[in-house]
Amino acid sequence: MNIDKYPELKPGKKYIKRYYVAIMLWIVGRAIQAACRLDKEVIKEFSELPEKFTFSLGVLPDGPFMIIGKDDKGRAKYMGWNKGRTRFPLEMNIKSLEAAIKVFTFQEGTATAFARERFIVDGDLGYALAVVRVLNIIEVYLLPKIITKLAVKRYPRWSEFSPLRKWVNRILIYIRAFTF
Amino acid sequence: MQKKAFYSFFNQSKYLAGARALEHIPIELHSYDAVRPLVIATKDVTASGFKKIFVKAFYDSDVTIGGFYDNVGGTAAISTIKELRILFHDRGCDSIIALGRGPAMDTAKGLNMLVSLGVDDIFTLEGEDTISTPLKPFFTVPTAGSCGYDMSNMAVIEHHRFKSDFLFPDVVCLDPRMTGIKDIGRAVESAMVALTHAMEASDSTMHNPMNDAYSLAAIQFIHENLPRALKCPRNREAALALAYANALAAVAFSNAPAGAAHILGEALNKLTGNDPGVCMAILLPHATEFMVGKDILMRDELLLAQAGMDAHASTPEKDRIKESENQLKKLMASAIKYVPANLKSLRIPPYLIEQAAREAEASGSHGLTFKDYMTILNNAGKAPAVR
Repeated sequence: MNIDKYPELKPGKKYIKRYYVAIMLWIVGRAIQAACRLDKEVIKEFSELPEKFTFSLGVLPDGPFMIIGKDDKGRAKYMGWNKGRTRFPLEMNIKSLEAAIKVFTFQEGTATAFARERFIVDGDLGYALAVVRVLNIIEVYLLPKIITKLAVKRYPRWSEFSPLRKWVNRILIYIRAFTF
Repeated sequence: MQKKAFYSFFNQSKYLAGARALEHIPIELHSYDAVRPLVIATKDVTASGFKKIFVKAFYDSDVTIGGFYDNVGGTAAISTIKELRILFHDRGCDSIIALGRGPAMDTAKGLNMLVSLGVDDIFTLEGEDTISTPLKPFFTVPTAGSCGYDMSNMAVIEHHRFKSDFLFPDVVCLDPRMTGIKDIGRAVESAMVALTHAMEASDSTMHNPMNDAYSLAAIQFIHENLPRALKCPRNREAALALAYANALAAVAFSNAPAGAAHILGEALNKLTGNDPGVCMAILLPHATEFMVGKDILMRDELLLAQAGMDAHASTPEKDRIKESENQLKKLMASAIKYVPANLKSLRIPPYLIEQAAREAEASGSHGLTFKDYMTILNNAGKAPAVR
């Protein structure tokens, strides 16, 4: 057998999908930072996390990632996309880029993706659930209802999430996320 | 459900199934500390476009495919396995992925025995439970028309049989992009092997609740989805369900003694070269009828799996076994275009039929005599050409 007929195959790259996920993670990261200054539920979730708590959400093996930490005032701070070799108290990783695309194109909700083992959680599961709750709130703010319904387990009722709160915070989050 | 005093059941495999299942392989390889698999595939894989899909699934991972050997023919050959050993070592591979139909799986299992155990002659490992240490990580990605053993604890290399729990694949990946039916004839044959294995596993004297969970589910999947696949071979949902049935039946088969239709089907395949799926499909109704005639365990739970709850509930208890046989015949009749109704259509000379019965008796795994096997074969030979 001529073994040269069967060369080794190095993995290629899916650049467009990678950039799409990176942009989505950047927007979500910035939005969490903004929401932590505006929305009382997000503020409450973060206040219950330990001091100096940091977590990453990203795609295995090489990212992109979204790193969020608590600053000195206990508010969320977007800390970039490059994780390097740093280990965080909570790491939520999506198993593959294709799985990430399913999540970030809202073909699969976060809860569904967890149930289908698309995620690997390394850290305290209680903190991970707090992060998932925050992500759900952010999705409600960032996306129109018709898309958010695909992404979250249950869209909040009017009594839980008044339209006034939603629209005012939505505008402020967008302004803050894309400006400073 | 019958409660047995003792039974054992084992299944090693993890199953990745459904949308984008292939993309999970790199992370699963990591969990076995493997980053450089050797991929072994049957010849049809490249032509069918499966190779391209498979290789793309490794994009954006840190797994390098050490080599993609896509030249496995109709059977697993020891010469190919020995050549692949050179490729495996030359490229520094640490795991094996089998892609395609049965021969690729058998070749991969043979190679795994060679490279993991360091033996020169794998035929020294022939038989049952001759392997005593775990082998290298072994993943399988079956395509439509797999032979039913792929996901089991068995390998057949040049008609030599190897059976060990260490031969179970570590991970089985059933992705709808790979299980789409390209050749409906082959898909029917593989479904027939799975049906034979599942029916004989659920019907054997060794049946137990664990095995029932697999075998009855496989029977249900085949009865529900084979007619759908026959009607529209491009139906991806039905094709994936048949792949699930294959996987389920393989586990049931691994944990039960081989039944009469399987033993005779394998013997005829060995002697005549006819597809084992075709032989088993012809023999299964006659083997089942023979068992019922001899009052050897035939269970009414089968009807529940075959026809569903309504049909099961509306059939009187005493008629369920007969109805179960009718359901089986009905399914076979729907596949008549691909599976002949009797052995006569295969033009097998009588001396080979006798030899098959003799070999089946010699295998001794089902406790039937030469006369019993000949009765089944003669009934299958005399059956009308139209069901």
